[in-house]
Amino acid sequence: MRSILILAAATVLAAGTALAQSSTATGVSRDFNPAISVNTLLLGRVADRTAEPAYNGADLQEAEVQFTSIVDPYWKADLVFAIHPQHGHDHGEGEEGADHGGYAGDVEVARIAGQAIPGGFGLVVGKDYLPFGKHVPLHTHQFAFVDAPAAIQAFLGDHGLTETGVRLSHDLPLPWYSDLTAYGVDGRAEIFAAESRDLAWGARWSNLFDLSLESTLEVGGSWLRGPMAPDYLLLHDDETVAGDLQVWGADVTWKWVSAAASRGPALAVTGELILPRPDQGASDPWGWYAQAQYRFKRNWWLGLGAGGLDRSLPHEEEDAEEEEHGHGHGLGPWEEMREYKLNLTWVPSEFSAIRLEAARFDDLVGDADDTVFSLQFNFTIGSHPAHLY
Amino acid sequence: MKTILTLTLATVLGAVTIAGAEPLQVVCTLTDLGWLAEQVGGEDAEVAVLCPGEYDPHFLPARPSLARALGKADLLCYNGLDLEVGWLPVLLDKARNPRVRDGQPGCLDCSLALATVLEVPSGPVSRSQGDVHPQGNPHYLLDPRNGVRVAALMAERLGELRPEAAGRFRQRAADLAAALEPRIAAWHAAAEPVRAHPLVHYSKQWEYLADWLGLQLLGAVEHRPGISPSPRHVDELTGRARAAGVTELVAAPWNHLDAAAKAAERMGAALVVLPAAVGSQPGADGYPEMFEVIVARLVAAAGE
Repeated sequence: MRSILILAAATVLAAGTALAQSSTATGVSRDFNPAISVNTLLLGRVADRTAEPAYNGADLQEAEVQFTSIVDPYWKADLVFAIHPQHGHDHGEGEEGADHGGYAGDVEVARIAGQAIPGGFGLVVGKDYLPFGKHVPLHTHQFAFVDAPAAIQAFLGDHGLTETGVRLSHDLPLPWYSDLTAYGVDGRAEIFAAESRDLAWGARWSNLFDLSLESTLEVGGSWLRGPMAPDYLLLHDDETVAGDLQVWGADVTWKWVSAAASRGPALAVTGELILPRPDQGASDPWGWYAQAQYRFKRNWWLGLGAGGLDRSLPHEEEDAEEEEHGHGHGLGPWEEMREYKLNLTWVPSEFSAIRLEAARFDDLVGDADDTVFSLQFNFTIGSHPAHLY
Repeated sequence: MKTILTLTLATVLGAVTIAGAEPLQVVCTLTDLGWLAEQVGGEDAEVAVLCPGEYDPHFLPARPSLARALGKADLLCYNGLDLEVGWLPVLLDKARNPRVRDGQPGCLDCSLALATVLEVPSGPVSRSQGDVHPQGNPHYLLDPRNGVRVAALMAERLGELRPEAAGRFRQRAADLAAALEPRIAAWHAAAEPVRAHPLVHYSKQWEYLADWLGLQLLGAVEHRPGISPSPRHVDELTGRARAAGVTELVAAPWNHLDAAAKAAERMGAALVVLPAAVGSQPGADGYPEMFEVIVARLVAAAGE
């Protein structure tokens, strides 16, 4: 009897093993699961001004869950879900010093990319970051500094410019690498009028020159047009401006990566200019940033950045705007400002980093100056991420 | 009218014939693979390489301009075993070339040629082991016998893509094997003095070389891939190296040679920097030349 039981147990175990190897009978298999990775940013910081909870204390900055897989011979899919703190100003309530509102989730990316498109065209359908300049397409954990430059937040949205639509790309037949991308999307990001039925359109032209084995120069231009959000110009709440918004951008990046050693010296310098051109409501707002990242030792990066913006608000609306919007865009709704950033990052492996940063914001019109010190922990679990250039 | 149509048809057919005779565009991720593809492809293939020999193939910056060559390729030959996982997916996306997408005949994982993959983890893997390769050690081209196997695999795939030249591809692969095999035996014999003492290596890159030449590897300074070694580990390895009479610490040109030199000095061993890829050092301009340099340097250091 005991032998029969042992034999039966062995049979069941063997059958279990066989089922684990072949899922035909159960329909359960891990073979086709997507590659999964999770990136998390933890952030602690203190600011001179104490009204803004997001800038005083420690919290989750963002957790990003990414799924990637080949769908079939025709499509590859990417889904990215982001979880981040929700503060009062996220509700659009304009609450001064609003309380922490728990955590909110967003679908940052839900896209499929064509795998069998003929003629060298790239086709992407779905929700994705718009290809505007160098900074907008970056996920938060890819930023050179803790926050996006003030000009990017002010003119292209502080929650990311991720939209649903179609984009088409092609490598132009030029002697250098020259990529042209055009897109049409349903503009729902905060810079667009979400209720409008008009689509937003745009294009990016990126040119990359190989200067040597180790260095490249990239020169790009971007443009987008869409229905402008009523509060884009930060006017008084009851003074909304209708019409279209155009934004022009230009960027230059020089990059050098030494071949002499694995993760050896490297330097990347980027400058970007953003020129919003609303159909009406403001003269010529503009913003810019410049940043340098230098890997001076195998596991150590130094970052240096500066930037600024000028909204050119009509003078008589300035006080009302300060009063009503409070801290609607990060630390301040600056009319004209300059920012300076310095950070040091320790990257012990490809899967974790610790960043210490100091940032100074100078308000050139009002008195919303600030100094912020940040400590950021960045870690990734799951599949190995490919590195963007 | 009929004459014009005939002429047009003849022109089109002529163009098609000429196009059919054009060399296959082969893109290889590594210089070693590029050299092998050139030998097998001959005048029937034009070969481009993505990762220059000077770069550590784990960390090649994925310059978009590299995608342009990939966009024109009929065949992509890559090392596999996740060696290029940090940059090849980005380039494949930018290349927008359906011919070389995963699963297509134009996409060849050269690790499929191997008889044995070394260091395939037998238990659970985690990042506590560093940036470990779950499918096994990917540096198999440092065993020239694997180069012969890869060349044969390339010949088969090239023959599938260009059946009319299949015989030539196979013949070139056979000629290459015939030319390399006596040299492989000679290199093995020449390495006899190196087998007398165990070696220390800086990173886990030389297992296939050691397996072929019968060398003893005592341990790696960077024992967890991609993670800087701890002083405690280096102390422990130094003690074992001194006890075992280690005379050589081998490293790749892109390893952190200052740290390697300090470790070698503490162990009382010579730091021997070896070409870890074709073109990674002067003199290693081809696959056989790379092994000439490797064996000569190992033997010279063993005799010091």
